[in-house]
Amino acid sequence: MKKGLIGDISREKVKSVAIIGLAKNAGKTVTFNTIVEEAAQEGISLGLLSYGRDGELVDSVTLQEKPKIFIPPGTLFVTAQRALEKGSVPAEKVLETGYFSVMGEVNVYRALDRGGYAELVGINSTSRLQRIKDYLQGRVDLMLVDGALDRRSSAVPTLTDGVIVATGAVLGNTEDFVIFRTVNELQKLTLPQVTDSRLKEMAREAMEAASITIIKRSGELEKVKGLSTFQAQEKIFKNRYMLNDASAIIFSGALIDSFLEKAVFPEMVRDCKILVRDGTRVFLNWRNMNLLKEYNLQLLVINPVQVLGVTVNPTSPYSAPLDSQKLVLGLKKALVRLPVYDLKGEGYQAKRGAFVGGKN
Amino acid sequence: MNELKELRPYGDSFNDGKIQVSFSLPLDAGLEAQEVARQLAYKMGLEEVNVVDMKNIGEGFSFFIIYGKLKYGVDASQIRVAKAVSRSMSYYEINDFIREHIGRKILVVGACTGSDAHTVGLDAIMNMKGFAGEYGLERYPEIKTVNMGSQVANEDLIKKAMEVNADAILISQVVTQKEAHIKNLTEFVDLLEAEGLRDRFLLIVGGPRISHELALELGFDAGFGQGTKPNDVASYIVQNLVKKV
Repeated sequence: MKKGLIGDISREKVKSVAIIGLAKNAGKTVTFNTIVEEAAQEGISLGLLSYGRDGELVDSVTLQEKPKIFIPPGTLFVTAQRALEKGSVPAEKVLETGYFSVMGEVNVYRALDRGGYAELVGINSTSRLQRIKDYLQGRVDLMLVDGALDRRSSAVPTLTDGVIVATGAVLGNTEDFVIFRTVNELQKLTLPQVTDSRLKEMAREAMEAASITIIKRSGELEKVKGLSTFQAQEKIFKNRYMLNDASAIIFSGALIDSFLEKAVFPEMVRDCKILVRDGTRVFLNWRNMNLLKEYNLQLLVINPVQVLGVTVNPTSPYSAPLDSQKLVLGLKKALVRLPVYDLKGEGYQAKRGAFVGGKN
Repeated sequence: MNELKELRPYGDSFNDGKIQVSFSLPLDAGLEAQEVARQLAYKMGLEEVNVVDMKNIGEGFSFFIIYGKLKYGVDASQIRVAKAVSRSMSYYEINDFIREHIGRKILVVGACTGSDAHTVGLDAIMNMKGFAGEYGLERYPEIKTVNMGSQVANEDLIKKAMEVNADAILISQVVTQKEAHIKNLTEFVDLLEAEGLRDRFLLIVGGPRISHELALELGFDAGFGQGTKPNDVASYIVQNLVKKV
C-alpha cells in the first residue's frame, strides 16, 4: 500500500489535485515537491503547473529565493519559454497555449532524459486553468496545481478533484490559534453536500436563473436577479420580508458576511438551508459561521471540495517556530478523518524513508 | 552584452565594484568600534575596506562611513523583471487612441480597499490635477472615472464596477501590517472568481509595496509601484482593452 501524501491521493482515485495555502509561507511548494517526488517513485505520470506565478526565481513579497521544483522525466508541465531556458530540465514542446507571460510564450512541455529543475509560470485565472486541464486529461495520471499566496479559486471542484491544504505557524503565534484558524477555514471548504436530490436539482436550475433564489415553505420561488450577488442582496436588504417563511436560500455566486448580518439575522430566519455551489464561494467570518449553527441554518454545497490531506509547516518568517508534534496531533484530533503531516518533521521523514527505500 | 555578465557597482571605472556604506553601531567611537565596523564590512562581501569616517553620535553610539570594493557581481544580461508592458503614451495620444480604436468613453473605477485609508496613491492617478506634471484620469475627456475613496469593502467595489459597467478596476494599497494587504487583494480576486466575473474587467493594483510580479501572483492583470504616473496606467488600460476585445 502506498504511504504518505501520494497514498492519500491514490486511495481517493482523483485525477487532479490543487494545493492551496491558508496563508503565504504555509508550505505549499514543499507540499508540491513532496507529492511530485513520491508520485515519481510510484511511477505515476504527472501534469504540473503553478497557479499565479511569474517572473524571477525570487519571491515577490519577501525577496527570498523561491524553492525550486524538480520535474521527473516524462512529466508534462506548463511554463513559459524563458523560464524553461533558465531551468535545467531538458524538454520538448507538446502544445502552444497561445498565452503570454512576462517570461515569454506559455507552452506545455514534456520533460526528457533524467528530468531537472524548472520554474513553473504563466497560468493565472480559472479560465486558463480549465483549458490546461482539458488538454492534460487522459494524457497524465495526475494533474497537480501549485497554489499562489492564499488564493482558493483553484480548489473549485469542477476544476480539480481534490485539494491538499497547507497551513502553518504563519497563521498564528500559538499552536492552539493555528489549529483554531485552520479548522475554521477547513470547515468552510468542506461544507456538506446537499442530500435531497429534488432540492439539489432545483438549486442547480435556480443558480442559472438568478443571483439569489428564495424557496418558501409553500414551495413558491422568489428569484432575485442582479448584475452580481451584491446587487441582488441589496434588493433583499430593502425588502427583508422576502425571507419570511424561507426554507432555502440559493446563491449562484458568493456568500458574504453582510448578507447574514443585514438580512438573515435581523429577519430572524431560522431552520433554513443556505445553498452555494461549493466551499470556495463562502466568505464568512468565524462568528457568522457559528451563528449559522446557533440559529439552525444549514450551509450546504452542490459540489463538495474533497480535502485529501493537510500539511503543516511549524516555522514562520515572522515568529519563533511552533511545536510540530502539538500542531500535528491537535489538527488530527480536530479534523478526525483527515491525514495531517509535517512534511519536514522527523515522523514523516522516517516513514517516507521506509517506503522509498531509505533514499534521502 | 558580455560585459553585463558580472556587473558590479561603478565607482571610478567600469566594474571596479567601489561602494560606500554607512551605518551606526551601539558602541562608543574608538579603535574597537572601528575594528567591528571593518569586520562587518568584510562580512558584507567587501574587499579593500577603508573606514573613512567615524563620529560619536551620542552616548554609546557611533556612526561610520566605509569605502570598499564589492566582491560580487550580478549577471545583468539575464535579468527579467515582470512589468506591465505597454508603450507609454501622452495624455493627447491616449485620448486619440481611445477615439480611434475603442470608439467610446472608457470607464475606470478606483478604490482603496479594506482597512486602507491612504488615498494619496489613488488620488495621484485619478484626481484631475494629477501627479508629477501629468493630468490624472479624471481630466481625460475619453475616460470616465469613479473614485470610491478609502476603506471600500471588496463587495462594494465589485457592486459599483458592475453597476457602471467598468472596463478597469484600480485598487490602491498603501499600508500593511503582517501583509494584510495581500489577504485583502486575494480575497477580492477570489470573490470575483466566485461570482464568475473575473474575466470581465482589467484588474490593476498599485502601491509602494506592489510589483507587477506580485500583482500577477495575486491574480490581477497588472501592478504598478512607486513613481507610476497617471498616463502609465492609462496607457496600459487602453492598449490592453483593445487586445481584450
